[in-house]
Amino acid sequence: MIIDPGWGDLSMTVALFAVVVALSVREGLSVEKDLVVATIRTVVQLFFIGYIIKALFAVNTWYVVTGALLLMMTYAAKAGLGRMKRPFPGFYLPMWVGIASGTVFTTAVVTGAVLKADPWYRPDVMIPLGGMILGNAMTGGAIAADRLVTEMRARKNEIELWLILGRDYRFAAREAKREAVRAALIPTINTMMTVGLVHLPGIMVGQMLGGVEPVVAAKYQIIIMLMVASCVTVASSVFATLALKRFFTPRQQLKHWLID
Amino acid sequence: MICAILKESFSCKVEFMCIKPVIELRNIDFVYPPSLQAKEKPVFKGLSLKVEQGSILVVNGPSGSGKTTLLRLLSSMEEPGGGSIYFEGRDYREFDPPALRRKISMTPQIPVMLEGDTRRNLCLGLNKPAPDEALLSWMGRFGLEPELLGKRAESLSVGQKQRACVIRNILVDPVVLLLDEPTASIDPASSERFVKQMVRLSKERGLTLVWNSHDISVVGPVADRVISIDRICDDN
Repeated sequence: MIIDPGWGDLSMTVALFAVVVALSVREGLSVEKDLVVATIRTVVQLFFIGYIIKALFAVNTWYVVTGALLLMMTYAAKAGLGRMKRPFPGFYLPMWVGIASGTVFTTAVVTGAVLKADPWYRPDVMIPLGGMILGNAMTGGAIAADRLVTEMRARKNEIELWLILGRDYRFAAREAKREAVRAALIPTINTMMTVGLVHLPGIMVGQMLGGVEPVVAAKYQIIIMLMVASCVTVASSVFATLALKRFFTPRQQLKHWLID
Repeated sequence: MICAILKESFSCKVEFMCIKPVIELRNIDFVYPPSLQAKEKPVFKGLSLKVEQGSILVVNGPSGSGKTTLLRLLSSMEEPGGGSIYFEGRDYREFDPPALRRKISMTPQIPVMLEGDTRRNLCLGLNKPAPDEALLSWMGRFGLEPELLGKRAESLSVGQKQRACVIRNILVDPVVLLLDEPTASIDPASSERFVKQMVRLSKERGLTLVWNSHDISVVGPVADRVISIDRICDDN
């Protein structure tokens, strides 16, 4: 039995928001303004996307679904890089390709082999799953990007040593790349370790609230957890592999002036 | 405008001038690109230099004069903004950079050791580890005690690390060895021994040495040529 909250019910969540603001004021956190903006954005963005998805479900053509996903990828690459502490030149294309690879690979496996969506572009499957995968790929890519710059800076002497000894740039910077991908994966692995024990994921809770049998919800959650791990790994690996080249000149010299 | 000028201090063996240069720099311009930490930094303008095969070339000059930059250009770790560098008559740009760096090997002034023991660090440039006997023989020649072989490389003194780095470069079997202040952290007795070994090595293998030193009293006497780099400043 699905409980559909009415507009009045939804407005009751204002109480939650009031508590957060009150705490912020009392503790001197100075985040009230950000909280107000974030709340308004959450409401507007989610309603906006809710109506957009509703429209997409109705259209039901492969090119509209693919186009929507491509648009989302383009924005995700930009947003992922926007999360970096310090922007690095030339990262956009590696980030876009990384996110696209992670999203296409994972979505194809999940919708094609696991859920056997028919037709393959079924918007009610493709858009929510693709969006979720994209979001995780973006987060993984953003973590990898930040960590890659940090590692390249910290390992500058080591990387130059390998270059001096006649190794190519991929070999010289392989540890930095490994650390970047590892850092991107750690939050996902930590979540997978504790899921079901420490917390119930939002989607599983949402499905159960929507009337889905708990075991079925658990099955979906398993698919989602592995899906997240897969897209984060593919996205961060592809990104780091492509982004590595941006730290070197065509003559395989470390652009130390970009990381000094 | 700041740039470095190069002076020939003295040439000990005139006959070297007739030998084919192993490295030649023609009209090199070099500017360090601007970074977050520093502004654009011009270093060389129109620099030309020939390094003869099997010779010992000592580069002298004060700190910040561009000696290290010169070695980085020679080892292809920096790209000149103008001009060309030739190795055995061929433009650097014709070579695969890793292959070129195995032929022209540089020992940086600050020795870099990676995790692991000295054995591992000595063999970093090799595809498979060298036998201990060979490593111990090289260590003996450079005054490093045998027990250091199994010791954590990071725990070595700076002087020991510097010598270990030179051995690591020699094991790659380069044609030219670039040394950046290799005796800066070594005591006088060890410095003398180090210089003798390098001269011996140069003669044995026909190894060309380009040796940066701010103090030529140690290496000057064995040099075939000594050149000085001075910085001139001209605000106009």
